[in-house]
Amino acid sequence: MSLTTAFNTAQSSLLTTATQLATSSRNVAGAGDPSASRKITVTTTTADGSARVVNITRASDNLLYERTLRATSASAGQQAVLQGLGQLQLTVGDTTSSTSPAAKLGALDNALNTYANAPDNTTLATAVVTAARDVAIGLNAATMTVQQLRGTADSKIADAVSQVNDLLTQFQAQNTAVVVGSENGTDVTDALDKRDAILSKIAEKMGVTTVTRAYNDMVVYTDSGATLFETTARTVSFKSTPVFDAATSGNSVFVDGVSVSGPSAAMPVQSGEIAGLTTVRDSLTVTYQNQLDEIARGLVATFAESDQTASGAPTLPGLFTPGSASVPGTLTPGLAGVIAVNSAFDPTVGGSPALLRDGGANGAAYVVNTASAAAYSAHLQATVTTLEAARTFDPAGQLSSGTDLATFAAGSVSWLEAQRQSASAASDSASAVLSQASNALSTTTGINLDQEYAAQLELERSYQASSKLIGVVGQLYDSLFAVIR
Amino acid sequence: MMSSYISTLSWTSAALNTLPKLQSEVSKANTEIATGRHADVGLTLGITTGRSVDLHTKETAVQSLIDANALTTNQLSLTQNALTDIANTANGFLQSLMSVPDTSGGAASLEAQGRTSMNGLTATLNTSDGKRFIFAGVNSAVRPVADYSAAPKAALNAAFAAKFGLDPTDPQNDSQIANITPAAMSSFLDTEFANMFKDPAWGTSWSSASNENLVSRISQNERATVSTNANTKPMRELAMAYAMVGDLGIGKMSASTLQVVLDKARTVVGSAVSGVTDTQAALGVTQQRVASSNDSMAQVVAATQAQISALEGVDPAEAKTRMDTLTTQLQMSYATTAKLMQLSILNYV
Repeated sequence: MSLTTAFNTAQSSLLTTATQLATSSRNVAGAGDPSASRKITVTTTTADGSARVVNITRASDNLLYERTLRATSASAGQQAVLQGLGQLQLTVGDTTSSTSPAAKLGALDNALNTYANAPDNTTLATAVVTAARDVAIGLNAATMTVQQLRGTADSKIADAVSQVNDLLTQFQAQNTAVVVGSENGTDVTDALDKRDAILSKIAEKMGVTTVTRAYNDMVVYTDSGATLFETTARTVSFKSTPVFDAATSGNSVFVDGVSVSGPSAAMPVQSGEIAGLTTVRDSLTVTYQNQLDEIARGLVATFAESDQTASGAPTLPGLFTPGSASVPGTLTPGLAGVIAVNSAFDPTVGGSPALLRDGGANGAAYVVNTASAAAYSAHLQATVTTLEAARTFDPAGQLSSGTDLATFAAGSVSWLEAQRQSASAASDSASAVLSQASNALSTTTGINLDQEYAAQLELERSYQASSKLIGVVGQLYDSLFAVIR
Repeated sequence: MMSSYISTLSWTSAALNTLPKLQSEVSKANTEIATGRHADVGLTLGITTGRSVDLHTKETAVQSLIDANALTTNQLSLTQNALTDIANTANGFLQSLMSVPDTSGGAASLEAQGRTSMNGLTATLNTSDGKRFIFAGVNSAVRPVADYSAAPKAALNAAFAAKFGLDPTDPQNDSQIANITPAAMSSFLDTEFANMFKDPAWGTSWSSASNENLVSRISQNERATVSTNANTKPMRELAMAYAMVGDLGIGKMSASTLQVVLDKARTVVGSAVSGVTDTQAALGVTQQRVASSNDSMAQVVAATQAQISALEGVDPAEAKTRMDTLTTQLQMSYATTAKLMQLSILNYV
């Protein structure tokens, strides 16, 4: 081994150590970034015994990464559902509060019973009308909350879609960098890290699956199989609906022309924020609105006035008006939003609450208390009986039919809270899985500062040794040249 | 190759990540200790929340029935007092009828007592509790019995005068009354006179009360008749007896005719008194039912509250223990985080 070889070895060692130090510095810089992975300098020993840097790779674990992606999607989806249900829960409130339609119905029933015991008491009649107005306003407000929630979910979907489009563009830039760099054999680890970070953000919005091809080229599909990215970003499109009412149904999200959410989804996404929001917009709120509408329909039917003269006149709305002239016989979307107290009964606008006792809001043929007896209670008691009788409800409310109105309303509360409970449990477990998966990923691929520092100390020694070696070789040459001279 | 590896981030954040979870648990436990109920009742109960809402509604409903029963009880005792009043007057009248000899000497005082009793009867039947006339049946806004001196007296005078050819303006003081035979009087009392106290004459000249009594809901599944009215048989009989004695001019009758009137009056009052007692007994039963349903509803309220607290309540002692454990955990988490943050190889090199 000649002195020149020793010199070369020391020199390449210096270069390698410098590269390793640079990599370690990058690691130290990225230690606080959860998306940064640990960079590793791969070295090799050449034929002459010197160490050379081959390339720079990163610590990675594909299985763990994909698990983290899935957990991210699942958690974001459940979070969206839970938030939506939290909004719906505002229409119910605590069991002790009088916010829920069930509690308001109970108050109406009580007022009606009290009035039936003393039908000659106008104050009690007014109390019934006030309770009735409370029920109607409560149903109107609940409908508004539900429909606003649908509108909010719809605009959140629109936001998510535009973010996905934006992220896909960024993804394309990083993916191109990765592919080009891989083809040329340059360091692509930073681009890979960035690409992974972008993919995680996309996964928050919609569930994804990936396939990696030659030169680290990544293809991204939604978890339902629609292509989001292959060489170029595909367009995700969505047309938002500005205002929702009970009869409105929202639009679908399209990925590359394929419908992936909404009413007619060919390949519905399973997880992610968009899937969660779609569940809120198209399923939970719609069912809850159906329940409110059925409560409203029950009320209109209960207080409807029937013909007393056998002249064949139709049954017409009484205390509660459904926004149309007739009593609806089937589920009427949006009824809970328009139900109101008949002005003929409302003393604040010149009506007479005693019509509750006498009947006849729709004309003389509907008068029950023909003798105008002040304490006539038969009609009121009949109304109470009807209010507390079993009714048929539309299965679209997803509650059991053949119960009385109060039970149905309480069932609606049960339904909502059960949904919330299961969504909360699912969200908790999804976020636990996410935290576990991302922790595991970070443990494996993250950066340990202590280790980097120890490595730097080691590299420092190595650098010193190589430098010393160069010095020694130099001195040897000096001695040699001194002999020659 | 390292046998084990952990990144700095997951090393330091492990303890830190549990903090928000612990903090929200502490806040939950805090609420539970303060209220004695679950922090989020709906979330905890889930599908059974409807049951809880149902129980709350039921409790309010039963409570409002108990409140309404207070009014019913008031109405019933008012009616009972009035009936006792009516029965006392009737009994006093009956005693006078029994004790007065069948001569025209005592007739004048009896006549006066008849009129006073009639006024007392109409006044009592027109009793109002300030909101309704309690003897009016369901037609409670209208004064049930007309003033005797108006329509009823006019009808009586007309019938009396027509039957016996007396002075229509003042038949009671017509001297021809003395000529009425017992047989004629008996026939008059059984037909024309009796008809005035039957429908439809009773409805037109005497009473505007309804035959239909008030019915109240006294418990969740029980309805009861809580009033009587001025059209019942004993009331008509009393009015008939008082009118018979007070306004047929018995002071001027022959002894034998007077005997017919007094006999008839005794029979009618006797029947009326027992009728009033029957009514009182019937209403007494209702009072009893109201009282017992109040008792049972109070138990229902207590049972419902117990069920609600079984559903919604938390054991404060358990919550406090949980809170203490959580606080300890939280402190440990803080300490661990702080300790880990201080650990660095830099401090030792």
